Amino acid sequence: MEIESPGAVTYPPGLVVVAARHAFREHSRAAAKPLSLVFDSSGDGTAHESSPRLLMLTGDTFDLILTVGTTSRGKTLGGVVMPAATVAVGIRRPLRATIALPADDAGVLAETILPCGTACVVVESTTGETYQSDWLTL
Amino acid sequence: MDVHGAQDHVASNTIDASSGSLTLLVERARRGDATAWNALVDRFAGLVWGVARRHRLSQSDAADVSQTTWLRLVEHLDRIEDPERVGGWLATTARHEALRVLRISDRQLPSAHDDFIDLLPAEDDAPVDADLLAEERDRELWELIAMLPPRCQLLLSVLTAESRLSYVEIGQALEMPTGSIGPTRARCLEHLRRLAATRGITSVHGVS
Repeated sequence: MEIESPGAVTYPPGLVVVAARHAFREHSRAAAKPLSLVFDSSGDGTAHESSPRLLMLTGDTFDLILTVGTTSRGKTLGGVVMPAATVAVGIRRPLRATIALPADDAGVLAETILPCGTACVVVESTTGETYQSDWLTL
Repeated sequence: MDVHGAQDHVASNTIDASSGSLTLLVERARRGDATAWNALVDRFAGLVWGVARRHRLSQSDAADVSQTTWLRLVEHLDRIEDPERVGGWLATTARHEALRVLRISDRQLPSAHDDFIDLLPAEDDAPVDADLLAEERDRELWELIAMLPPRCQLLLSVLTAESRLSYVEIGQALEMPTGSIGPTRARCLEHLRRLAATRGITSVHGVS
C-alpha cells in the first residue's frame, strides 16, 4: 500500500495563500516609527489563566497599555494611553479599515470589540507622527 | 520600499517557486516585486501552514498565525540578514506565534481535550472527483502520524513540507541541535514504520 507524502495534504487552504499574497500590500504606506512592544503577558507563564492579555507598548513620547479579553462576540480591547490626549490610537487589520480607539480626557480608551485575527496597533501623535507596532495575533 | 507603486509595474511573467535563488527572490521582493513575493509564498506557504497546524491550533487560529507570519516577513524583509534562510525565519516566526496563540487559547478556553490534535486535511479547493483511494491512504497515514509523539509530528511535518529546509534551518526553527535532527528523524520514521506495520502497511513512500 502506498501513501502520498503528507506535504501534499498539508498545503494551506486557498484563502490562506491569498492572505499571504495580499500581505505584500500591507507594507507600511508611510515611514511609520516603531511602536515597540515592551511586554506581552501571553509570553508570561505565570499569568493567571483567566487574566486578560496585557500588552505594553511605547513610542518616543508616550506609553500605551492595552488589555485584550475574550467574549463570545470576539475580543474586547481597552487600555490607557499616557500621557493622556497626546495621541490617537487605532487598530489596523490587513485589508480592512482601521478601527479607532477613542480616549477620554484621562487617556482611558473606550472598550471596543474587535474580530479575532491579525492586527497591529497604530498611533498618531498630535505632531502628526505615525507609529506602528509589529503585527500581532489578537 | 514603495510596494504599492512597484506593484503597478510588476512584470506579467511568473516565477517558478521551486527554483531560483532565495536571495534573488528576497531582493526582488524588497524592491517591491510582487511576483517575487508570490513565489516566496508559493514556496513556503505549506511550511508555515504545517508548522501552525502541528501546534494543536484550529484551522482559523492557524490561518491567523499564517497571516501574522507573512505580514511580519513583509515588515522585516529589509532586515533578513541571510535571505537563503528565509524559510527558517518563517518557520521560527510561525512556531513562536503558534505557541503564543496556543498559550492564549489554553488560558482563555481551558479544555478537557488538551491532547486533541486536529490533523484533518485542510479544507482546500480540491476537486470533487479527487482520488478517493489516495484520500483514504492519506487519512490512514495521518492517523498513524497522530499517534507519534508531538515532537515527531512536528519534525516530520517540517521535513516533508514541499519547501525543503536545511538541517540548520530546521534546527533553528524547532530549537533542536542540528546533529540530533537526523537521529531523531530516524527514530520517528522507525516508530511510524512499526505503527504502519500493525495495519499491514509495509511501504510508505514520500516519508522515508
